[in-house]
Amino acid sequence: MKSVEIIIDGIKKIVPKRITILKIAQDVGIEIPTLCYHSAIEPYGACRLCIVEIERNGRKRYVTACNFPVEDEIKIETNNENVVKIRKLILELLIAKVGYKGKVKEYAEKYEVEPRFGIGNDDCILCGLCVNVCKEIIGVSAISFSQRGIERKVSSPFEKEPTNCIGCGACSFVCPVDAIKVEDIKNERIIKKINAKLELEKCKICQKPFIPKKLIEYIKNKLGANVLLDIFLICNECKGKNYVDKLLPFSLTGGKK
Amino acid sequence: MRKLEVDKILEKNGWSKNKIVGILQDIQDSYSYLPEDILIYISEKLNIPLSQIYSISTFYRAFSLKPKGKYRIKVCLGTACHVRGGYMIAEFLKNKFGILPGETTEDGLFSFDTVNCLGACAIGPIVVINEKYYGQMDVRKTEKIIKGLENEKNKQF
Ligand code: SF4
Ligand code: FES
Ligand code: FES
Repeated sequence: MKSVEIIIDGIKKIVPKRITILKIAQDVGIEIPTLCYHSAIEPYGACRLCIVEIERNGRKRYVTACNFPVEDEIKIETNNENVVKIRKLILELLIAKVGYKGKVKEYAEKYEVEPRFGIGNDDCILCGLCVNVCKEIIGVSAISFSQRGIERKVSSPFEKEPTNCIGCGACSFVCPVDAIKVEDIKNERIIKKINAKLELEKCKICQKPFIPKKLIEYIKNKLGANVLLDIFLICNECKGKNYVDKLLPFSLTGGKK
Repeated sequence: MRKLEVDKILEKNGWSKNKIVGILQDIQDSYSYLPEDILIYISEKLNIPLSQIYSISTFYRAFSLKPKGKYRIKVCLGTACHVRGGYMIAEFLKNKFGILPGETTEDGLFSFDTVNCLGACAIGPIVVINEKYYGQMDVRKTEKIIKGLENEKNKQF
């Protein structure tokens, strides 16, 4: 693979072509703030927070580090005055949309951002992580963006129960502002934001409903198995207790199951 | 049956995922909207997640998830038409029908949308009813045309 020499925050480095600025920064140990980036998911470039300055032949430009592939010799500034100014503006706009929530709150504090355009109360910053994790990693695509402009939002088709959702909760897991809540109520898993409602299977040991039946089917399909090992059918609490029982000569739980 | 009609549209577009926007356009033309059951059918036939079809269907203004009226009125609010009074026509229609842009009257006769520049600025303000373009429009002329359409309906029944 061809490589190029770049300078990032004054550090010279030879990097393979087409590597993203964000990856270079991570290698060197420079922290760039991100909201819509996840290492397991294709960069989407939605939040713009990872903005950095690049200089090529004396010309400066601002690009998003997460999805900018390095092609030639450039100088990168990840944290100079201009970059910080833009980042603050982006955070001010995010605060105007969702207020102080999750990672937005963290970064707002770190960059000492005042609410210049007011404090909003939407739940979602439209980063796309939930949509993309469901599509790329889970391979289900139960949800997507709908509408556009100021009405753009994450939703299930027709705002109805998504028939293909397996209730895995990956969307909730990746959300940087905790917009997607997963609740297990009696024998149902409810993900209100995306109108999902799934029947739960009981834990083999304690009988507490804990895993969506559709998720079991999904795992079976992935593994090409007719039956699943108990490890998938026992809830986390019971798994913990069981391991303790097996590993310690004198069980802390008194051997009770 | 509907399925046969939809299959024809899919056939015409080569049963191709990549032609989904064209397919939806054809469905919109045939039914004056995108019926939910047809979108589900297409999703299954072409193996495209329903969420992605829904995303496209709600993104473009040309698509509608609710049936459009028998007479589909578009008022241009592009810059040229706007400054010549297009917005007054839009206001008039809103009040006359008691609906917002994008909606349809209860009797299913009229639906009304605003658009941004139809490329005929010289003869603005423009009003389009179904495929017919009316130039140099004002509230009075619009009212007259609509009266005419309403009478036509009364004659039919
Ligand atoms: S719900 Fe969360 S993960 Fe999904 S787009 Fe909104 S902020 Fe991103
Ligand atoms: S992390 Fe790069 S644009 Fe969001
Ligand atoms: S502004 Fe109405 S046609 Fe151009």
